Amino acid sequence: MESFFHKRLNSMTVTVFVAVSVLIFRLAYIQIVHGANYRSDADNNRFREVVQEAPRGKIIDAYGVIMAANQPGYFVSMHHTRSPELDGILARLVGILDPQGGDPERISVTEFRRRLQAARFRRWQPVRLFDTPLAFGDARLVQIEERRIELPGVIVEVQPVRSHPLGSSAAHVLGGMGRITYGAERLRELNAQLGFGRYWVGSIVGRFGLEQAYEFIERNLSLRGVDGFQRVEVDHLSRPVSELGLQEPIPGNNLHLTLDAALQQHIEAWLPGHLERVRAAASAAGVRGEDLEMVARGAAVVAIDPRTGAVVALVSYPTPHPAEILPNWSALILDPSRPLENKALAAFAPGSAFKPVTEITGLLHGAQAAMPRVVCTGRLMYPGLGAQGKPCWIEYYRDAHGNVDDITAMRVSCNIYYYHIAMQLRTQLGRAYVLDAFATTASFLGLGAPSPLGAQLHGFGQQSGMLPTSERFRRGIRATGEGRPHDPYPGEVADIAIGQGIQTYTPLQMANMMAMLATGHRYENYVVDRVISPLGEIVSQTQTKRLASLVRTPENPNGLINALQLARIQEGLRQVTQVGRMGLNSGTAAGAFRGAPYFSAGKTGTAEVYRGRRALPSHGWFAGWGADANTREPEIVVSVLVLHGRGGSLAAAPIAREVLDAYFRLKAQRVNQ
Amino acid sequence: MVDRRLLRTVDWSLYLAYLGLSLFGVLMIASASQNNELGNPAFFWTKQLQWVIIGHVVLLFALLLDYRFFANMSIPIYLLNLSLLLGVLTVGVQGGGAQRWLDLGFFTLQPSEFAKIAVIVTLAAHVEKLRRVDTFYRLAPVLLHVAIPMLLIIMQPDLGTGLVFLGVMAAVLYAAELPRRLIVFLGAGALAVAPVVWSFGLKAYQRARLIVFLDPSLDRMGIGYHLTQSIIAVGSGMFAGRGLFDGPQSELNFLPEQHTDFIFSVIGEELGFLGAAGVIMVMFFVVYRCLQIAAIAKDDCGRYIAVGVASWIAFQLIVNTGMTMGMMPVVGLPLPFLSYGGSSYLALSLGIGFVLNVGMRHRKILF
Repeated sequence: MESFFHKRLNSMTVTVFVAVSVLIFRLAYIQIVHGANYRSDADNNRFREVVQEAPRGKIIDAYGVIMAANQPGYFVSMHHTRSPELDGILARLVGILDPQGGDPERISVTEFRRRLQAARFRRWQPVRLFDTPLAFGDARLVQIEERRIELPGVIVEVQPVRSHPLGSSAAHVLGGMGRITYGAERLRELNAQLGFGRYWVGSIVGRFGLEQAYEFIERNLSLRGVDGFQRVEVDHLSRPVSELGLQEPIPGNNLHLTLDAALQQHIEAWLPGHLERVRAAASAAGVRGEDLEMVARGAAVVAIDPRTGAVVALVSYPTPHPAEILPNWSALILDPSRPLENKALAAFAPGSAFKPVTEITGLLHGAQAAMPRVVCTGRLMYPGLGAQGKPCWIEYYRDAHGNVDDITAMRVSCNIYYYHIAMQLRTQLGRAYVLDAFATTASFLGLGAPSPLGAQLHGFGQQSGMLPTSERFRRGIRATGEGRPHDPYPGEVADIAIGQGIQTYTPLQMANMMAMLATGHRYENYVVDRVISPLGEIVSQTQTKRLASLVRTPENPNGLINALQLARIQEGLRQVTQVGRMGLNSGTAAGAFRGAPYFSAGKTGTAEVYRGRRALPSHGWFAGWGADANTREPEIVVSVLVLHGRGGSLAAAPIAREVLDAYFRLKAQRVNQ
Repeated sequence: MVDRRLLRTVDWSLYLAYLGLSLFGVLMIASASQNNELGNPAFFWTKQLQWVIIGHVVLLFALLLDYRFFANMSIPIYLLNLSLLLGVLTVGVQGGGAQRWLDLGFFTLQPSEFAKIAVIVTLAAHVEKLRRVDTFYRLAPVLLHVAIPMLLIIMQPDLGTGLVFLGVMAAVLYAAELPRRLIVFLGAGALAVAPVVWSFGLKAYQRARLIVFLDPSLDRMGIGYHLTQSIIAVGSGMFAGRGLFDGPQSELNFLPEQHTDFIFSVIGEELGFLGAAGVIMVMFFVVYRCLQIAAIAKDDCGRYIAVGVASWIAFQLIVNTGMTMGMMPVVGLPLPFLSYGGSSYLALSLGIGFVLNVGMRHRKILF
């Protein structure tokens, strides 16, 4: 009896002993065998990294004027909370941010809840409730601070936001930014594209222009810095309880541009008034209806330094504000004046501004030797030009240029002279090859080829332009109704010679052509002069790159003409801006440049535009250069296009005059300082 | 009332183990609750210290009178117990989805804790009176004796505490030389009833709690989350622990109920394998001493009391530590002596008091 009881006691003791042993084995298993794993699990539990956005690099003009920088943006954010009162807190916040309730898309309890929900897997990071930063001193910020007790979890975060001290100035160069709002897949793509650092939902990404070109580039050149991290310890609700280390963000690199912000701004400020005057003149001249609607609604002004190829100003009108590009995307896309198109890189028929190319092509093949002078009677009758012949522009005014040589022809833009060159070349080279001669010269002068600048000024479109090659005629040209493949007809060759027909060039290309005529050399365009690291080191300095020289010398056997020929062309271009003898046969831009206190030269152009068979108001061109009156060393080239401006002389040349005036005025001011 | 000679026969090792565990519990509660939601780091451990002091009064109360006195009071004790349990169900205080407490003003009493010791003492007296439990007709009243309070507790609902009664009853009957055929009969009966209870007797969340330890990922955000965090806490303690008051899992409140049901996770995290295994071994020593006292008890009643208390402590030790390590279902059972809570601690003090009482009076006192 006694022993039986003891047996059972013993078996109970053994049972408990076995159970306890199992417990201790289990303990050893998780603490000793797998302890290290669990310890790292525990540490991952409680450490989080809160992203500290790196300030973007600044964009600075050639004279130190800041064009894009960062300023503190005050964002309304919220810590994750399990407060049962959440809806009440959010409702109070909505009441402060949008008391009228006018913006329920962005400011509403539902939207805030959605954002909190979307970010629920990163509980340690405050959630931005409202993407638009509030300005310092905004009454709503003050209210949030004052009513802090009623808004547990709501915080005001300070993050750098892009600021544009010059407003919309040079938007087509600077470009714009977006914030990542999309899902994980797009984020992965962008991270792969970036190659360094990392994007988060909410990160800033450069989306246009230099902001994009200098985003996805090597890290030591990028505007984008490297985000820092604040290591925080969090509790079980992922609320930060203490801050541990801070890895400081590394700011992005600063871009120093070749732009002259003062000149750029002056053009941007002056241009709209001038375009308004052009429209008023059109109205006074009897342009009506749809045609009047399109007059001078868009324009491009490019100024480059002919000695380096550096872009000094680049205006494409109308100009959107960089910060408004993405928010207003749909409206901008539908705007008929196409503000998102960089018109300085868009191609249009060059009109008479092309005539120097014809002149050089003729000189290259000796065409002018047969015709040192021609007589302009207002119309050229020539075999193959049809019964009507081809008119000079002056015939419209019931006039004629009379006896013209090469310089006069350039000055007065006499079509007849250039028709003669075209017909002579056609005879010499054959109808199958004559246009290729024009195309080769144009190409040599930088026309019809995309600029590397276009790749940098991403997102606003760049066109390479089109050279008038014979091959295109042999393929057939549907636009002119001559869909049938053919060798160019004499009339078509004549059109090309005066800048009409199937050729288009961009204002930037025309500037490069004019730079080559001014200096004899052509350089690769660039707008970023150097990249400076946040520590002040020069990371990259753009080297000027000479692409071609015009004058044939022993060192430059590929040159097209000799120095004397170039000098005569330059004289012709100079006279374009001059009043003729006794006020007769003045240059086509003489009115615009009357009294200019510096050396000026250039060429006007009026490009006919057709929609189907209907003539629209012509585009107005002017491309030319300015130089010191004494040294005559070309230092600034300007190329102007006014869309449907109805003529180069009246619409475009005054803009060029204003640009050159401003350039020399600013230069004088800087010298005085 | 008490002969001085009796003090010489007190099992001092059991008492010291009890005292050591109690004070260690206060320390661990202090560590586990230093960042509590009340914002007062001293709140819980000072209260627990009060319970340790009151526990000694209670222990002396259970020690000084002969346990036969309590055995003879079985009927009033049993009725008082039932009335308290009924009181909980009618006028009890709710908390955490269950109704387990009676608000006495100065103290919220958890009668289910006292029910354990009440049932142990009365069951011991009952089984002793039956002499032999060798037929179903003798077994039936014993089953009824345990089933009534147990069901009242399960209705609160408090499944874990209810299961303690089953364990205690099994141990007492086993010690009472229940014949093999009845053991088989009871086992078979339990196996037959279990699926029915599982499907109809348990609510969905109770079922979930019972199986979630098999795969915590079933319930990442609820119980499974707590379980995962508990295992991480224990495991991250490694061999020597993170150091007292320095366990991040508990300091940052990743652990659920860390000063009550999950105090063992805090021990595992902060004191490592050394501390946790040490605690289990000291507890085993307590159980072992209780069973030793059962072996020398002067009568069956004392024997059953000691066995009952031993099985009670062993059951809660195994289920509680097993739970924190992911081996046992998540049922809300406190770790004996260590978990924060007055009722649990005082009931255990009574239990230890009775066992010491049995051990102290194991032979005829010669005057």
